[in-house]
Amino acid sequence: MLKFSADVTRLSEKLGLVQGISERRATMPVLSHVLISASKEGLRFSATDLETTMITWCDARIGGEGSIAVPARKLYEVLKALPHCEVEVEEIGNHWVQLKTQSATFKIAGLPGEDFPAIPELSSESLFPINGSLIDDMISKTIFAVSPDELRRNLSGICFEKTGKQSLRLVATDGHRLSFIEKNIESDVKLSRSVVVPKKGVSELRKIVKLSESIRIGCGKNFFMAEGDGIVLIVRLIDAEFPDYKQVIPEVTKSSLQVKRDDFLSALKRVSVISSEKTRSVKLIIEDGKMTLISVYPEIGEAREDISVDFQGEALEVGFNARYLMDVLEAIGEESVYIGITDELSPAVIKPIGEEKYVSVIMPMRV
Amino acid sequence: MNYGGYFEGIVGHEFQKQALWRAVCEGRVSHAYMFSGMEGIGKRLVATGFAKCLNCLELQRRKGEEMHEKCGCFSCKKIEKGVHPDVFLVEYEGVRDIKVNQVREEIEERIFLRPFEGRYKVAVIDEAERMNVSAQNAFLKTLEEPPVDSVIVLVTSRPEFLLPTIHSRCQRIEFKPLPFNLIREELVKRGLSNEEAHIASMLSGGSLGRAIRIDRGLLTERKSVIEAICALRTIRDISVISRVVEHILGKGHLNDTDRVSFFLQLIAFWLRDIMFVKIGLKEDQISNKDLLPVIKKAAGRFSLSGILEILSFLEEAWYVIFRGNANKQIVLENLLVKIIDTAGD
Repeated sequence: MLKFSADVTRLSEKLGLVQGISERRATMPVLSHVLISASKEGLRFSATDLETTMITWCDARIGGEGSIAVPARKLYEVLKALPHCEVEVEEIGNHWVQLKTQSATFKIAGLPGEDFPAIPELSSESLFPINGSLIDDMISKTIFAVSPDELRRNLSGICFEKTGKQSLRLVATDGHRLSFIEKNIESDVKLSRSVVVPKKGVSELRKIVKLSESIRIGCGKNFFMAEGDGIVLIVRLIDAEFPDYKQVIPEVTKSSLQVKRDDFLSALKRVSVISSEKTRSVKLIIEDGKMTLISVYPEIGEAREDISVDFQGEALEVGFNARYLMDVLEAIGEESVYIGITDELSPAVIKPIGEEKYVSVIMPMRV
Repeated sequence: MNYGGYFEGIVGHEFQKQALWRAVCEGRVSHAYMFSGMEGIGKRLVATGFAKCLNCLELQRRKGEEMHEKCGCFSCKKIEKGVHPDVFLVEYEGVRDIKVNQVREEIEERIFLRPFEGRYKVAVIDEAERMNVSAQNAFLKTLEEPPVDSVIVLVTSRPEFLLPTIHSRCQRIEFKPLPFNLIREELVKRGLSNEEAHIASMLSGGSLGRAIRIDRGLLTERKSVIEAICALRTIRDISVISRVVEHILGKGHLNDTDRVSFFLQLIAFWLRDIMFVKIGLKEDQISNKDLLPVIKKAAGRFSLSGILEILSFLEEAWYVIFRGNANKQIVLENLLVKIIDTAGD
């Protein structure tokens, strides 16, 4: 039978990390519970919504080994409200747990530990270290392009791909735009195939990165895993193939221009105010040394702004969703960007000018 | 054959069990099945057994051997308890029908992720005919091409309510009503007397679920009601007739439709028995065997055409009570009067 004692603040801090995962809507009652398991290795909290699973360890004096599932929110609320002290936790039979401090006793009804979904084992061989802020940066530069469309499951996550011994690529697309970023990392990328990690899991990964600077990530057959300091995240992979995105990235474009990122971004922000909420369409007219942004929306009005660009050649006219352009420009840190355009129907390419291997492709729209 | 013990405790349906078991053993599992057949005959239980074989941890071992008890592995236990993360049951939640949202949230969101701990994700949709047309249409795409490691089982007692496009995307497995003797044996195992089990199995129409739901109290009242009806002689004795009707309606059960429906069926079977006796069928065809002397006596008083007349009257009575909103007491009194009137002395 499970029995341990630990510091209340520590317990509630660790439980707080995982309890957010616990599902509130009850497709399966056990999912609103957190699994507490005590073994020789220590005290472990696990929570899952079957899509993302999070595990934390906590220092405790183990009095008896065992595992039990306890309602996550109730337990967390009780622990948070207790004054700083030592708490004794014990399974008292019939799947009840008792929390006892010097002056207070709580008894909470739980569920048997074996009813909890089996937490997938983490094989440390498939994990490789990666710098936390690096992966966070890579995610922030791709996550906006993930498809919100629930019918296109294979696009509803970020694709992790190995492109070289030590280079990792993240790709996201929604069918109208695509962003990918490739980085060299200091260790070998241990991915045997490309995998699609759901958006929710990637967002959780960013939370973990904030807790520990150096993390290890990797993939099993059905799961993506990330391990930080005393915290593990396991994300169920999407059971669908990511499309062959390489064929939509134009290798060469007919014309190209360079523009200051800040100028372009702020002009877009202003002009797109006068555009339909739904399509956010903005027309770009590109001539020698000048780009004119035009937005006409009969119900509101019209806007027009010129910015200077580095461009020579035949004048071009092309329309875009301003939101797509702004998402990309906001993600780029460099001073200037390169834009490659062929015509008003072919995909356009946006890249930062600098070292970074970051490419975005955006489909134009008819304006 | 015992199919690895995965269908232990499920009465009948040998052919269906065998087909599913062989599909699992030979690796020919289809991506979608439709289990159709009347309610209460065990379609959902078979679907659960099927989910167990698909995910059992000990399948390889159990394949070869004669197994007569249920598997006790973690996976099978979880499926039995309904807590397996990869086996999900989608049920009608009591608000009109199964809507698009429910299909999206409970099936599609879960089926498009890799399995959590099992080999297959199994989605069992009970009362699938309750999916409204838009839910069915929304489901078509997933049903046609679900991810490789998933199996969808639609369970329905009214397959005709499902779109032809749904039918064509599933492997159909039809479940037949259970033989009466199987139901009778099963009821006897559950502690009913032979006579009660016999009449309950006849009333169930081949559905064990329905047979089990028949109130034991009603079965014990059967004898007294039939005897009372047989004893009725004259319509002049109104107080006797209304006493029998009150007995049928039961005190304090005025709105108990199950009760009225049970006794109407019972009267129909009693008339059928009389008919059988009249045309000289063997005694084991008779539902109320224990009441044979009473029935034989009654057979002398009714003509065949009279019985048919009462039966069509009964049908009408059924209709006005359950489809219309007629006063049960008056309808039942009329029925009894009709019975007395038709009988000779």
